[in-house]
Amino acid sequence: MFLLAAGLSIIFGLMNVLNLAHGSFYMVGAYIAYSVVVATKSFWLALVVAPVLLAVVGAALELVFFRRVYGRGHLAQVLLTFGFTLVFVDLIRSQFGPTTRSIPPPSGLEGAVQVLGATFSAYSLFVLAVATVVGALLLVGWRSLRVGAVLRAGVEDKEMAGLLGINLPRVFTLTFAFGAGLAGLAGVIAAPEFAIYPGMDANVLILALVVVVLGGLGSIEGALLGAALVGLGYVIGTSLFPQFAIGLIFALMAAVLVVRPSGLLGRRM
Amino acid sequence: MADEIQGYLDRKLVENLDRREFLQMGLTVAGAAAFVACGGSPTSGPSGPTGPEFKLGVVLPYSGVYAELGNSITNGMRMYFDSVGNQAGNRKITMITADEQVQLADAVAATKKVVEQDGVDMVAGYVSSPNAAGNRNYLDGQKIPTLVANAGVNSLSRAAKSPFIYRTSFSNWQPAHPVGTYVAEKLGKKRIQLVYAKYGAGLESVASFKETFTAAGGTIVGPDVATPFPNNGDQTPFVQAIQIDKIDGIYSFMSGTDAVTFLKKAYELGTLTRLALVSGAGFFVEQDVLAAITDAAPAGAITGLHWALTLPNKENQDFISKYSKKFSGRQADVFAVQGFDTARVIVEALNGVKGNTDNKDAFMKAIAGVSFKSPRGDFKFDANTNNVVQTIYIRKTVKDPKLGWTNQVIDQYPGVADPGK
Repeated sequence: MFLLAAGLSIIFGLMNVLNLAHGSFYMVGAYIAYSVVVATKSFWLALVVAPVLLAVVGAALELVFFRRVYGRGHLAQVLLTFGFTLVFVDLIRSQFGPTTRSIPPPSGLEGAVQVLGATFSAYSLFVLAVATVVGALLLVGWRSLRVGAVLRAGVEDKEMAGLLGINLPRVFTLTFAFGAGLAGLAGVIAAPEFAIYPGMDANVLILALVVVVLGGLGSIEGALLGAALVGLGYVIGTSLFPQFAIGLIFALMAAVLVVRPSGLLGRRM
Repeated sequence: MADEIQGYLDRKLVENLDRREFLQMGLTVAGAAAFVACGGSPTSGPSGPTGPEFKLGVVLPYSGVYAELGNSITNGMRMYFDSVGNQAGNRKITMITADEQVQLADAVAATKKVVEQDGVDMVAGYVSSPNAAGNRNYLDGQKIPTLVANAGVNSLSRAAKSPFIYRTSFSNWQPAHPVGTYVAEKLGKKRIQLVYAKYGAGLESVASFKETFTAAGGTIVGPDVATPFPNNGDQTPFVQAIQIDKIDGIYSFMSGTDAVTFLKKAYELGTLTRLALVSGAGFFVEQDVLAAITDAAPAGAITGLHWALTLPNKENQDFISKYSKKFSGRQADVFAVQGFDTARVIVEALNGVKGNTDNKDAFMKAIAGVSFKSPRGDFKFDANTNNVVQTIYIRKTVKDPKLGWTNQVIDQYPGVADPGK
């Protein structure tokens, strides 16, 4: 969840592009994982292949399509990217059919583990670990690497960053590719945990948008915090009042928006 | 509230599908027109039917979560119609499909489209219960002969039954009812916790199980584990709500994606193997679910359904092999059987009235009188409920050396009829 939201947040925050196709990248990532696992039986290979492929797809889409709508406001972007969600879901359906698929967790991560008296599935813990590692890397990169500095500069003030000699179009393409890659990674990670089916994109996109809005746009820390809140809210919500879980999350979002319109850790608009 | 939001989101997506859907329908109609223009069915030959064309409106989901079911039912129907040369009672049968989608509004639009625009003689289909129930008054009011090919909502056989609507699939009550008796009496398991997706079908199924189970001396151990429907989130809290130490087992109603994610999580956490019994309505471990989860399948699960892939009767074995040959290796499923039987009812009723469907009462009477040996066993209608009377098979989930994970029939309850009056 965090991985997905981080990618979305970077794209939205930095580039001011509302990318509804982000959920599709996630779904395609899961299907690539399925194909790779069926063909080679290697989950780990899928973990490498899917993000790379999606980064390439993301870059291509950015270069050919999305680049053209930056100046046109959010409505044009929403239309374009929503169109892509339809294209992707139909491509997936024509290729794989509407059946629900699933892949087993990689060997070594099957079964359950006892931690402090509670039972967890080993794979869930693995997901947690991956998210933590990626989150930490992103945070470090964002704060202390040159790339992070360039990105942050882009987020703060596009024109100024451009004047300072940063090749913004290239940065945009790379950022978009990186965001798409993160979504692909999220798709692979989610594949053994959840079911793989056309439509999984829409379910997760909504939650990711909530995460981004909650946490604040263009902020990795915000995405992290938002994801934690939404995750907790959803799980607590489903256990206590199953029929109201999603409502609870949206109530949370509404409350945050009233108090801090730009999100918990977002920039003041 | 959550349902409403989900509904809203679904609608949003569906609204945006309209154009595509429209084009698709256009193509279907154009295809049908081209087909007619080319001189009709090649199998009918020079001695083809001379009566007016019999138009059958098929309202099934071809997009959204139930698309797979819609495709299977359509395949089953097509297979039977092809086997009789697409004609009956000296009339050529043409299927006119319309997309039921997910939401009731779309299902209503699809129904009206085939009835008012295409002027069909009959309607068949409806996968989801709200859509079947929501179209009931319209079909009843217009006196359109209708066969419900999947939707299991009990009321269609009870308070909301119509002289023009018969059901070839099942009522939610049916597959669950014998399971309660079987679990309590034959297996002697008396302490059961209910695990189900909280929506119409889930609630009706567990209520039916409870009836026979408690009547046979069983105790339902609470609290029920009721998951949201559909559950797109983590299933862990629900799996962990199963009170392993206090119960002999569970009775479950879930299907499709929900069943897949639930069973996988339960397998990872090792929950189900610690129970003496996993039971449920057959959809919980039907072939679509088993194909997705493979070795995470709950071996030994006891479920009730009106069909099983492994049924040895000749009709079934024939059906399975021909289906797979016709549809490039696809495995037959219970929905395809329902479609196959639906088409057969139509053909036999048409033959019965010699193609004359103008007298609707006579045509409905002919439908009511149809009975035959189906892949699922003996098939006939119940005059009290307009619902199918059928054998419910008690099946056990096993790994077959040839078929892979499947359900083996271990007992059967013949002639199970919905108790509606």
